[in-house]
Amino acid sequence: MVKPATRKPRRLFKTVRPSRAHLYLAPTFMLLGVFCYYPPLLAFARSFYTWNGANAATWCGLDNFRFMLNDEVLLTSVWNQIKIVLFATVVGISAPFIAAELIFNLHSARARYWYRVLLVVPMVVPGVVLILLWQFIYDPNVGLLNALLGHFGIGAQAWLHDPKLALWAIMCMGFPFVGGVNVLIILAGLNNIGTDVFDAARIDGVGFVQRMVKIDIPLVMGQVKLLLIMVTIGALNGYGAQLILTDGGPGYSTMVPGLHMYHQAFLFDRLGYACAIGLMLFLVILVLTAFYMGIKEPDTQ
Amino acid sequence: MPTETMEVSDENPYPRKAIQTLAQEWMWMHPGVRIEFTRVSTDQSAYISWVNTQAAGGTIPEIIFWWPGGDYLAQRGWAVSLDEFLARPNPYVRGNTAWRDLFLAGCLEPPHVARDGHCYHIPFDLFMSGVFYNKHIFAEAGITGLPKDWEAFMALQRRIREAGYEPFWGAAMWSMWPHALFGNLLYDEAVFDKLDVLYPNGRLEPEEEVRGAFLGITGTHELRFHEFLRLMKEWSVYWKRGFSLSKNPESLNLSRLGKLGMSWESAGGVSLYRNDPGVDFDIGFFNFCPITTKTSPAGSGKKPPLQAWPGTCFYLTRSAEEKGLVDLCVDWLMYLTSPENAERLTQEETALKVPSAVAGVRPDPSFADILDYDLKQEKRLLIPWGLSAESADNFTRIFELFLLGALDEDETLERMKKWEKIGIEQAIRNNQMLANEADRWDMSKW
Repeated sequence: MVKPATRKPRRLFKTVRPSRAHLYLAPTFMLLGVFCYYPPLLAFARSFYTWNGANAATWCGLDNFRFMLNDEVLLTSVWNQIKIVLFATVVGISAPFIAAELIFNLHSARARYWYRVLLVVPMVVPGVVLILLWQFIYDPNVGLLNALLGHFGIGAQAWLHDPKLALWAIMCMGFPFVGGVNVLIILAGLNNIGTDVFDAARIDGVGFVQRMVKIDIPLVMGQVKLLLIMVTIGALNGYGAQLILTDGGPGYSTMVPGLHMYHQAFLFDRLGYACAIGLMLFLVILVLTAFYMGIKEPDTQ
Repeated sequence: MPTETMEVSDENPYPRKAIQTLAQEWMWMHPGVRIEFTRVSTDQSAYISWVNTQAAGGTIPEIIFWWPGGDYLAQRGWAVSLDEFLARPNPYVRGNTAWRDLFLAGCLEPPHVARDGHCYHIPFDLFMSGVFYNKHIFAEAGITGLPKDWEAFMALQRRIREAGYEPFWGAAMWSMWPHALFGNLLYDEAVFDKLDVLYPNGRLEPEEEVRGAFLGITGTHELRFHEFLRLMKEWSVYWKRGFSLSKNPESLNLSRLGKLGMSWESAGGVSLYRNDPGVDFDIGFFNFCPITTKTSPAGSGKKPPLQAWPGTCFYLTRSAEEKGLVDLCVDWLMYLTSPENAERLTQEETALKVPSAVAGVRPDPSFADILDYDLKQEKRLLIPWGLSAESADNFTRIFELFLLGALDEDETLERMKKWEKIGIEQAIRNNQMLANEADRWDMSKW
């Protein structure tokens, strides 16, 4: 008598064998390799060459890096960049933190929900549109800001065209600096703090400011570190506003290394030197990220 | 080029179909021949890339448009010389004995022809610029006459400012036009003659300019360069608030709003707001005024020629030659450039009306008072401004800081001198790196 074959129960998802998993992942990582890893590696190699993008590259050793030390435009741009990073770090963390605290302390859950929604909605507006909006706000002749200040008797300013004001105008473009996910990240951190901690603080008679300093800040330090890294990378890599609004001018007053790199590569055909600037930017970001990661979080026990 | 549709929209503000109509007419006269239009990019660099690839692949159309002179095409053997055809009569114009005679004087002569002396181009329209002014603002400021010299020009701007308007700006300020203008106003013929020696053709070639700077004939040490800085600084007081030389300045909106007294634009640029129904003021035009020695020790005292060049030009390519279509192509171009057809091309009702390069074309009445230019032009000597892209960019940035008061004249000159040296080095290095050996300069002749 032939026994019927025992049928194993069918599972909706079979476990993928490790060899197949590699196969499935291969296309993704191949594309990642071609588009995300190969260009930086090529840029790393090209930074040791004189290359105009068309002719054969010529080996120049460390010349591009040596040239950086005497490149006055780059040095000016680095100083501008330091100001931008410091400003972005202070404002880009403190403003979201204050906004998150205010929302967190609202009694109405409905109000908290709507504030969160209102913070997220502007994220759908493309960055270029926002930059062009600020261009209109800053227009020296028909701009909103000058019209507003005019009501208070303050004379019109050439915000983006005055060497003393242009960098500040660029830095202030995110006002009131609470857009994007920054507030939500801090808010998520505050929500993760157990209610028993706040109850205990309340019983002990801890005030709002004291609670913020002694409890909230230490307990959201993980989120603050994340923001610190994101804000710093964003500030160091970003030059869209300068490219669209000022092209680094007037003079060099809004020039940053990223834009200088762009000019070198695509306006002046010095791709080897641009690669060297890019490599230095990468190293600076790497070191700063490592430094931030190394910041020890306070013992919250 | 005809537009895809004659429906006016933001993307298609000036529809045109005259060339298509003319092609249809010409095809009726030439049964069996078909003219096809190829749609190309309006982006200049994309168009140049397209021409390069089409020419390299042997698929370039028989007729293309290019900028006047056509050295680039001629040096590569891609363009056909039209000298022989220009001497023939145009059969579409009664009594014409030489096609060449139909064009405005100077359009087919140096400095607008190729460096080898041959004429490869058939000009279609003119690219010209000057000072367009708001007649309403002039009346309000009590200005009745146009300025005759630079000092009167400055005084006029002061009156416009006093009347509460922005006196001057224009898209032309963000270009080499000021250098060309002051090159004429502070002209030094002796310097020109020392430069125009490698290719003595009445115009300065890039190699001659670099040689001049390399040998110290031109540069930041010249009196006229110093005077250029000084005069521009004096003038900048009257430019619109928030002017910028490092970023393309937006001036048309300010003009459209009736807040700008004068605007330095091209005729095409001004057409944009001339045709604007929202503009409710009249526009007048005048050319820049001479700078006499009373204003500057370097002043030439000469009235500058109106800045005008042949604009869009047609070229016959080697495709026409290879296919034996040169005569047919020339016939089509002759048809296009008879005065009445040229008028239909440039003065099309729905399109931007630009001055034509063909003599006898009745211009748009609004341009009637600005057609007394001399396209022959005297020798042009630009104010030297860097010699590589990077050097010129830095010159502009330093200059901008000088105009805005962030640098004094000594600091400005010191920084410019540094970039001048870098510019010479870069210009020579870039040239010596050219793939085509024939394009490299022979510095032993310098």
